[in-house]
Amino acid sequence: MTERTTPVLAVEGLHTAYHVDEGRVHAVRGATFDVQPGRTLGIVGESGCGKSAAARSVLQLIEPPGVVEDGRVQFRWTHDEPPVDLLSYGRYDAPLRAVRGGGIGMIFQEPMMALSPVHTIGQQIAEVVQLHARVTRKVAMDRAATLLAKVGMPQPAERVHRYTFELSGGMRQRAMIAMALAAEPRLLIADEPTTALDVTTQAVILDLLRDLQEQEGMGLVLITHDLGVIADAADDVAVMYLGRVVERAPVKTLFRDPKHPYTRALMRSVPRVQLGPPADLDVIPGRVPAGTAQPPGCAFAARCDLKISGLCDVIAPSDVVLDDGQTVQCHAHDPTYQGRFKAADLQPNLAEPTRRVGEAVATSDKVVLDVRGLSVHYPVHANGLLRRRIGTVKAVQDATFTLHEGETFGLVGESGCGKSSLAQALVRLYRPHAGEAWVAGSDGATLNTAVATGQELKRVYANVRMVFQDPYGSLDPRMPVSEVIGEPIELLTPLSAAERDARVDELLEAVGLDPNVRHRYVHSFSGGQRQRIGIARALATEPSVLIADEAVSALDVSVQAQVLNLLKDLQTRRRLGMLFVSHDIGVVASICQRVAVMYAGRLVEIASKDDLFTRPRHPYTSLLLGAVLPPDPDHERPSVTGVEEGVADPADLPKGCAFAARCAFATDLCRAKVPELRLVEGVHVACHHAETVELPAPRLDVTHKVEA
Amino acid sequence: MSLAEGAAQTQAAAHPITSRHPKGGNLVWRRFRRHRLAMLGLILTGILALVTLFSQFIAPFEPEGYNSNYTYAPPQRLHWIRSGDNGIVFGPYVHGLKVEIDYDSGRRRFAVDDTVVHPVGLFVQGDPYKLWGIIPTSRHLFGPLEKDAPMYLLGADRLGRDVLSRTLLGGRISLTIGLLGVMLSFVLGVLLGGMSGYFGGAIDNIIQRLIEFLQSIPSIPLWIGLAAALPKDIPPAQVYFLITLILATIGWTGLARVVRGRFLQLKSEDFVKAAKLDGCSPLRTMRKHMVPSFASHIIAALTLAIPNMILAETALSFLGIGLRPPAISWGVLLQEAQNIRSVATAPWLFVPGVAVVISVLSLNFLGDGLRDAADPRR
Amino acid sequence: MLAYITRRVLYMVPTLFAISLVAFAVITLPPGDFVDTMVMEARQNGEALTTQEIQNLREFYGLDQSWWGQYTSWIGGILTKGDFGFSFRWDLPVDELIWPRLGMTFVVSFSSLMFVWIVAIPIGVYSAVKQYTIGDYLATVIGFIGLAIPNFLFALVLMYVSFRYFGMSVGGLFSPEFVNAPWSWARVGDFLSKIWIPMLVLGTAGTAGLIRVVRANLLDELKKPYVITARAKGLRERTAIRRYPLRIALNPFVSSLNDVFVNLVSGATIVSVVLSLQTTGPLLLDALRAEDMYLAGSFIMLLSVLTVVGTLVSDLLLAWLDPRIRYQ
Repeated sequence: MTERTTPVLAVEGLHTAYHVDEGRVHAVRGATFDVQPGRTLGIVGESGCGKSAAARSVLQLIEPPGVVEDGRVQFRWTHDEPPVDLLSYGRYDAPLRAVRGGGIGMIFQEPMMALSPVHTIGQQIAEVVQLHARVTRKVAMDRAATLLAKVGMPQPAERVHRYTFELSGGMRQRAMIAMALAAEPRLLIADEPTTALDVTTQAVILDLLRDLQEQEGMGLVLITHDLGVIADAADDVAVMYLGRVVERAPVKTLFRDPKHPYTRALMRSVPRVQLGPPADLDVIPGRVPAGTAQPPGCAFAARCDLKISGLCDVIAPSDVVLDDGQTVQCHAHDPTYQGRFKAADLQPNLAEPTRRVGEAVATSDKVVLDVRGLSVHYPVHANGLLRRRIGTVKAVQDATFTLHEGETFGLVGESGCGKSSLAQALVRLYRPHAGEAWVAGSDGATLNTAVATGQELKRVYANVRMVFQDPYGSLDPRMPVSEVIGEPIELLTPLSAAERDARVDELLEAVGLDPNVRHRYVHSFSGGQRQRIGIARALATEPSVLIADEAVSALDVSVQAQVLNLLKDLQTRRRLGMLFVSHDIGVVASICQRVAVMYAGRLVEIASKDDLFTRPRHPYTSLLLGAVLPPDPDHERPSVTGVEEGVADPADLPKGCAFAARCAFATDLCRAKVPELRLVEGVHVACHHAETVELPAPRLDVTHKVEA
Repeated sequence: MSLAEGAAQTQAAAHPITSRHPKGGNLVWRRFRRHRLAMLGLILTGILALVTLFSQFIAPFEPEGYNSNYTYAPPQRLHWIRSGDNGIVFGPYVHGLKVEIDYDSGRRRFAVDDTVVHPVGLFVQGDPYKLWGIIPTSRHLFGPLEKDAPMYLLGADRLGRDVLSRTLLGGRISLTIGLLGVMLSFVLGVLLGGMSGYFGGAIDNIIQRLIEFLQSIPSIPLWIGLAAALPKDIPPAQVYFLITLILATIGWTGLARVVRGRFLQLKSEDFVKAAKLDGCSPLRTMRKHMVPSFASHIIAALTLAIPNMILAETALSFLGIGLRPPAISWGVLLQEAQNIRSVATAPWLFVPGVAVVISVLSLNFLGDGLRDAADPRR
Repeated sequence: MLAYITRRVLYMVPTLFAISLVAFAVITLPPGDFVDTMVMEARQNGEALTTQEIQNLREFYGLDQSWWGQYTSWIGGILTKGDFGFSFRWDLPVDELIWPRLGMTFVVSFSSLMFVWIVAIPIGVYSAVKQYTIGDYLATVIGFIGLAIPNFLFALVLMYVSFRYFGMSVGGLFSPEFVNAPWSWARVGDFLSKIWIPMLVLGTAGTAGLIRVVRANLLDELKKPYVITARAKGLRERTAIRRYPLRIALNPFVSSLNDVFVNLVSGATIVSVVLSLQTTGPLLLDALRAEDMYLAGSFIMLLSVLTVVGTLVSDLLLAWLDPRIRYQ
């Protein structure tokens, strides 16, 4: 970018630290970036990289024990005025308060938490209006309604009097945005604004932010961990690692030609929709260092394959400005040191086919899990004295599918669709309400999971194992690793104590951990390591079916790739049938052979991965895939409309197809009769009009680049 | 990412692989040690427990040993140095007391008699007693070397009994009644709270209503009512036990709520679900996975419940409907202070009250620190 | 909201019924009855009652009926005529004795509650906002000490101090000349000059407890994301804290309000014995000792009713303050 306009916000050398018991966590270490009016700066990085802290430091919204230690934050009220340094004010000074809300509006991740539960959204929006303009309460409330209309809130005049808990997730985020806009700020800082939302809602909110930015000519800072969101919404990108902005570039340049080894590695490790057999993801070895770490040289040196000892781990790199407006903190691009690196290493290797394609589909015909008409219902009780039953949540209805030996079967859907309930019923955490689920055990026996009791239930537990989502909550922190993995062996298999110890060692090695860690307690491991222990525990009884319930969702991208590869590897080698439950379509597409889509408790489509991504048959599948954001700035996403209206409530389902209220093709038949899952051209789909509707293909497949 | 996540990561990464990794209990202890007031509470509680355990030995006199010559005798100062026949002598002693008549008010008054010296020694022979009701002895930690010499370090009461000895011995009932009452409430609370949390549904509902009901009755009038119902002629040991029972029947509700809340919270934790899938029976899940992770909460809640029991016993006995003389508890001793005129003459009658305040305070510090350490708010 | 109130009020009925049973059970628990007490007193005065006379007395007081019979006639009287029975000892209908005393209890407890509020909330807020400062530590330690001193002991110490150093007696709610006087401005003034002692005594423990509740709640709320939102709007720090975290932290405080009130009513029983206040405490104790069953039972029951109603009031207040409860 050679011609630069006057930035609305210019941050230079920002340092923020938290003084906690473990020491000084240097969250932001000299971050530098600027935002142009009318443009979107995306700040991307993994957890702990300091992106939120940097954004909050701009308005000095850092609370003790955090301190903004150094830096300059230049904010311009108008194009012609000289900038003011926001860090020159005290935290409570009036000029800074005028900028808060008035000059810079902020949007936070979880609107349910970020909005007050005891004030109506109208009160909260009107408050901002009145803080920054001399108007009456009445005018401010009217303005709040207008703002809600502007952010696309349905029935704004009525919703202005609603509380947050009466709104859906998407509506809450709209209210939050309306609040941030209330004083017509010049800049909007959105901190993970869509992370808590479903993918279809995310698409709507991103569209809204873009429209608003165009209308108002505001600058926008969009903080996210999701490269897909960056590719979709950002104009310029700042990549952060351990408190530093390691690379800055316009979005297309960055994705076409990433310079920093971290950016490159990050992009390679993102799971993408990829046709054909599942392939391994590239991984970044190791993990983000602790915030207390103070590496003397480059923060990424320990994980970098270009590292030159004696240089990278000694001298901290500074900003190198390249010709095309790209700025990178890496010695390999610094003319002073460049000679010491091999020229070939400096080329972007995104296009190189580094991916190891997995062994050809090893799926056999042997069915290891046969689910027929499985339903899971939960009673809803009143809060009163007698707790009488007042309704039923039909979490899963009539689920039917099969899982083959050596197959990975994906189950995708948005929050509340019942995918986790289905998974938990299959491992018998809950007893299904109706239906059957036959498991072919590794010992050759066949069991009906749905009704098993006593000794038979123990065999179900041994044969159908689960990997949980939360690596912190799912392992008892008060147990040593050997007991965590050994407990199911002890209770569910006839192995002796010596055999058990041998198996624990073998499993630890299989999941890539040193068997010497067996005596350590769980709380001393990182998230990724814990998830490996969780996988070892799941495999401990040599099950025939593995159920992974959002098993990588809580992990950072670089760690996620490691765990996904491990799962894929173990599954292939041990010929497990794996049910992989996830809300992340990219992850599912990178690991599964077949995929089922779930909506409001029902499976609406089951197809091979290639069929699903090239030709979705169910309108919901099409909507869902259309909202996916691949890490590709050239991807054109169809705009999604009307997703918040009529989202089905599993406690109060309509008579006919649950998706009918959101479906463009719905007819009276759809509203009257629930469609059965039936075979249409080799694909199972639950839609009355599967043969006739023409649905656009999402064109998510970006692997053609790899195949080239 | 959220800050919490970051902090969790920091914490996880802060332990290098080679370091020794403490069990969960040690983690609680480490956090506890940082809490200065709580450490003070722990030390004070320890001292109280020891003193109470050996109170018969530490107390210089028998609690019932009276001397009408020293009615309401004021506290005597302990001196260390005196000039004896052969120069300066080191060693503790107290001066004698003599009675003067204040001619203005016409009242009897004690004055220090400098001329009389009563030396005080360690491990002296004194009133005989049976340590813990078993070992007959007459050794006391300290006391006057001469038999029948007055040594009222904290004054005497209306019968000339040593307030210090009586207060020390009063701790036996006052402190154990708290401990015993809490243990009884613990059994009831854990049993009913655990049932409520584990089974849920109708059982939970019934127990919750019962707790709400018991909590809606003002406790002290109910206590008074129940305590007044105790027959007046039963032996002190039985009164002691029944009073404990009365305190416990009402005191368990708070504990039951804590237990139930923790149970419900833990039941939805993934690691408890995982235990079920690993083949753990409900009993094993509770024993191996649930109880260890809330044991520290329970201990904290129990510690915080003891002071309430102590206060309740003191109040009941003070009103004359709890324990009665000859039983000695701090509440019984404070009955002496009921009359404003006797307190005006002998303010040292408040000494048992000071003991109550110190023990309640140190238990509160201790319990509060335990609670903070057990609940780090990840 | 109306449905919510109705439901809450209906829930009170079984509770009140259970309370009346417990109250009655407690007072009939002791072996013997009021006639035994009379016989004993008579014997001390050198009189002896014949078996027939005792029998007649029992019949006269209705003590010959079964437990259930006594209970039903007592509760029936309350429900139909507002008649709480007869005090054997005072030879008066219970309600004549009970209402003035109960009124005083309410006044003393309520004024202590006000005292607790006015002192505890600002200190609790200060303590939370200025966490780990000298002021916070000071408030914490004083709070703990306040919790550790038994009410009656505090009352005794206060009495001792004012007797010893100011030479005045601080017992009672009225000076002797006003005890039985009709209400007048002078009597009100006398009352006001006396009430601060029980208020202080009762309020101290409550204040200490409440400071800790307010501080803990507010500390929890101060960590919530909406506080950052409030600051990001450009609100003044004080306004931001008052309007959001404090406002929300007061919700659990309101729901614990009744516990505080119950404790005050409870505590007042003992304190009023020490300070010889004309509240329920001394009379209740006396009635229990003399097995004056209808008087004691009515006291225990009405005190319980007071707290049950208090729970209702605090629940309704909470619903009014917190839309999450109101709408669900």
